[in-house]
Amino acid sequence: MNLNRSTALTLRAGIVLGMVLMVIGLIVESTGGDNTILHTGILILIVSPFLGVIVSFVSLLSERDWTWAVVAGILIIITAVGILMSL
Amino acid sequence: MAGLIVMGCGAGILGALFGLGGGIIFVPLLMLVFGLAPTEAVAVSLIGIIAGSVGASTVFVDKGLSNVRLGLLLEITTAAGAILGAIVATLLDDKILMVIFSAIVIYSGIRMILNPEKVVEPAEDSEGKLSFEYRDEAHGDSVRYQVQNVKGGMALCTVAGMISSMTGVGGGAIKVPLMNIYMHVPMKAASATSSYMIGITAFSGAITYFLGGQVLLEYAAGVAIGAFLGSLIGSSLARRINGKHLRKYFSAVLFVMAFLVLLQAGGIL
Repeated sequence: MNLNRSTALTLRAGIVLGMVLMVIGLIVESTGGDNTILHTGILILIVSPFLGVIVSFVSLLSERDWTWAVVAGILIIITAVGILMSL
Repeated sequence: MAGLIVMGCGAGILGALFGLGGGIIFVPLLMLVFGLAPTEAVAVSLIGIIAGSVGASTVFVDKGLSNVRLGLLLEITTAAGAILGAIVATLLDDKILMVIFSAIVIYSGIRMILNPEKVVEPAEDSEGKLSFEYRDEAHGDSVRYQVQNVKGGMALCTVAGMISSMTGVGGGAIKVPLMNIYMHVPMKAASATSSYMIGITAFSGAITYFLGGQVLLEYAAGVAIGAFLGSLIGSSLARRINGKHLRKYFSAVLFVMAFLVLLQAGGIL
């Protein structure tokens, strides 16, 4: 699968799953249930863009597009460093 | 909840059309209308930005309008700038940064009105690493472009990342004109690429707030649902709009943004 298709598919899976869980979570919470589903839905939404970058990285590796794979790899590292620094 | 969804929807439409995150709309509204504390508003806003960005990108990336490779490259220096910004944030006054931001944005808006778009077409047999192509659904033709001034663009993205992380606004407002005016990326590709990038930028901040337990879940869900719906409307409009018109509307949005940020700097908003 090419870069655009695999990245778009990952983003689509993340947003659809996140949205479905958020809506269910809001309904559960409004009927007095706990917020585990809502919590999970929001987490899935938040990590979707980063998962997209990881899938792009894998896709570029499989396309043997080394230059751009290195670019994606560096971005993954910098993003991880940024998060670790702010925790 | 309805109010949060409507606000998210408006920001989602703007975000998908112009490649802007919408933090400039989200944060003051969440504080003034919904009574959230500044940190809570920023956390909820970041999640709305992600929903809008991911929603639009599912379409833009698939259609090749978002330039994923260029987005990844510019995101490296944007992220590095954001880290740098977080380190030096304590040394600089927010208000001065906001004024600098407004000046950059106004300058970009004026340039976009006065100078026509310049796209460099790659040579016919070129398969260079910086030659790209997308199909413009407004007129049905393929648009080929060669990205220019990459090193300078990356350096300026560091500055964009720094300013955004210090002021909390303006990733897209700086990056779209930068790509369009300086790197000669066609307007439609520039705004779609920015749309894709802002989700990655917002992820770093959002996950930190989320792990710190600072996200108000119901507010975040409401804004995210609205932003997602808005991004679907916005991305559908963006695919069909003429790039020239998009550029004109974008410069008007830049002036409004600069005005809002100046109001914030002046303590009025």
